Amino acid sequence: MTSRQHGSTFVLGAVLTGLFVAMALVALVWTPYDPTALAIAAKLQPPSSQHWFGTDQLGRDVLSMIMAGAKASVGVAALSVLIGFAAGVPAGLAAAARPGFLDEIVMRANDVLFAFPALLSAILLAAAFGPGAVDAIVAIGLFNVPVFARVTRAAALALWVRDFSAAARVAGKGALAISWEHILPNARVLLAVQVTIQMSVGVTAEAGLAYLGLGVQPPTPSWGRMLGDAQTLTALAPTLAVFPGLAVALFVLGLNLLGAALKPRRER
Amino acid sequence: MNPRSDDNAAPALLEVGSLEVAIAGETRLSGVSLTLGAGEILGLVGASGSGKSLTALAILGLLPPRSRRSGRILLNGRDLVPLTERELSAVRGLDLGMVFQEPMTALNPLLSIGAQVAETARLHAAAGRREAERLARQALARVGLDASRQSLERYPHELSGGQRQRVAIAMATVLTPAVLIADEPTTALDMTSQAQVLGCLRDLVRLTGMGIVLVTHDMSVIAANTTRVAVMHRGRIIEHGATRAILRRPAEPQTQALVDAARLERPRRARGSGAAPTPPVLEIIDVVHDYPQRRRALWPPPPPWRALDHVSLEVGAGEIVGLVGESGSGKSSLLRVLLALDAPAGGTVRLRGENFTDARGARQRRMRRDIQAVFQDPYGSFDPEWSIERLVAEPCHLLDPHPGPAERARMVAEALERVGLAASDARRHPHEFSGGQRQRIAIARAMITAPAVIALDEALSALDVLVRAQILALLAELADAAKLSFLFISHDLAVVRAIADRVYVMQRGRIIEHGPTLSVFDSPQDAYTAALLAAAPSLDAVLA
Repeated sequence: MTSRQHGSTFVLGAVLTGLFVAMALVALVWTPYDPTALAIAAKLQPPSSQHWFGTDQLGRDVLSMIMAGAKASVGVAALSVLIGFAAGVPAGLAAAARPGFLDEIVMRANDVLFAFPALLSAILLAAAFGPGAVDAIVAIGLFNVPVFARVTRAAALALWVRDFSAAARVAGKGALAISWEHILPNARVLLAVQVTIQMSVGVTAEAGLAYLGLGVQPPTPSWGRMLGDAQTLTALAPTLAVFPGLAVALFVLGLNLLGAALKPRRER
Repeated sequence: MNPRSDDNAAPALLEVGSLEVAIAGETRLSGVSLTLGAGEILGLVGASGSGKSLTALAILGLLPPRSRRSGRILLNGRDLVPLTERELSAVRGLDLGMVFQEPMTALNPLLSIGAQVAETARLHAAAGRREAERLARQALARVGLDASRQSLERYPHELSGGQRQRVAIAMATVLTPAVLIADEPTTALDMTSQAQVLGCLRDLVRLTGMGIVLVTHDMSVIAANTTRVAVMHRGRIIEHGATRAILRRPAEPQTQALVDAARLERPRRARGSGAAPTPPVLEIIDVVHDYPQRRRALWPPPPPWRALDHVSLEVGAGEIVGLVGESGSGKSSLLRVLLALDAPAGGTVRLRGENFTDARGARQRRMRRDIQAVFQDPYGSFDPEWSIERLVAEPCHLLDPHPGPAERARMVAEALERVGLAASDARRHPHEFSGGQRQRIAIARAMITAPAVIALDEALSALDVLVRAQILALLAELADAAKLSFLFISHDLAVVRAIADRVYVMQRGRIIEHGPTLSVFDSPQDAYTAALLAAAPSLDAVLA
């Protein structure tokens, strides 16, 4: 990839990602219409100047729902990445710093977590505590932990054998100080890429869980449930499925482009 | 250019005429002309950045993207310049072989060496399986890897560096190409492996009559192996002709500098090599170190690999002590033990008379002040994210009390000036410096705690020959002026001879001989030391 393509990948990824994050932020304070207000009289309208994306089977404004849905999407994905990052990165750093017993413990615990796909844990949590946004966040977050732990450990192991780590030890630095001052800063690009990837996984997982009724509960709008609702009306109002579908696809595309642009072209 | 009398050359296999190469619009090579006859080894020598590797790549048609090449490259009379990539790749391997510095990257780790060499034959000559195997066996035998003595079923990781390089040569020559281009084929190898690989190249020339272009920065390699040599400087050939004539009377100052670098004069020292021994600052007493081996069966557990077998060594105040040995002899294990990076299975390391091996916590930190290190790879030993100031000051927290920011800045500035850099360099980052400058920075970092001993692990082997001499002079000066002691670990005998007051020779985890450098080098007592010395090419021996 030439540097020019690299630049445009970054711009396109940043613009798409920024668009949806901005949409979620705006939706916190303002949407064109109340996304939960019903207006049965105005149901299933095609896109118009009043309702840019049209209205759904209960007369709600689709644009407002998409904007409010971005809140759920960004929120669930970001919080679950935070969980994965906060637990996984320190675990990975510790595993790399203390090869042997601690490494084995951490990595085998990871294997156990890894054995449960996000969807399965979400169904489990929903069965135990009732479905809701928190279940989705916890389930996807748990799924993220081993991913971050592994990426961090692999990067850290490669950095620990570099001479500058030996030099830091000769300078009397302990494992904690070296992990914090040398290993983490040098792994940050790799971790940033992983954050974008896990965000996109989170967005699709959130949509999937909501589609199954395991995520954000009605009446709070969610892209996944909008898709689920639109499914029964494809013959009547095909555009209803288009907008939430596009939202998921474009947001994920944006995050992936951003990740690809951040990826180091060659390891130093 | 200054061509010397160069008569009775064999008809040219390879003729390069006014080769020009530009990369991204910038001229890198201009007016490069060479001829190579059958059964000849042509040396191509120069300092780093002189364009010698680029010339090799240009002949092979392996230039980086966005580069332009003009002139002519006649291989057996056929011009390679106008050929397309497709036509060129048919020529490479068949008529034109190549060997690079790092053999591991040239080999496929998943293929046994026999299969590896046979594959090349099948790809290029469309030979059948049997025929390819026969060719592979033949090629491997030519480089001294006989099927009767060593299994061809072995994998690259089971071989030594020198053996790997010989497999790479076998791959390059399996179809007996007319010309072999070898780019620094021995730079990554220790002396004994280097001698094997060079011997194998000479045998190839004798046996098959192929021509070899040997690219190197080392004049002693040139002296012992080539009949003619071309000296490069800044993308031009500044001198070419018969090797002996050029080495005896270099016409150009750059050639003279390369010859001097290979001869490596001893830097002037205040204390003579016969000076009385000083009280030891570093004592390694009877150190044993084992590494666990990989389990091959459930039972019994494999015996540990003994990397250090009762090693004892002493470094006096203000003394430079050399530790030489082949790769795998245990030099690096010893370094890790004496820096307390690994705990030994037995024995002790004493610093200024105090036991360092058993020191823990605050006492270990206090004692670490007295031993610092300079590592081999000037590119890997600095965190790329850190500024020079922060890097050089890193060992400062061993000091008690911790110096404040202003004090640290002053210490860093002083250390940088001490090693010949500017105080203002503190604000820059490692990537802004050359390899030689980085090793100076590494020495500054090692000096900042005012240690008793600095251990240098192959600290010069990644450096250009010309820079090497400068760093040696710096070390000699520091040992005299700052009363610093150095433990100089290296496989490069010429460098150790030039710098060390005393020398220890290590083989298979044992010290087999030690004594004053010149007496060990001039009259070795141990057969292994003698063999090691014989393997090292010496300029004077060739020219005498």
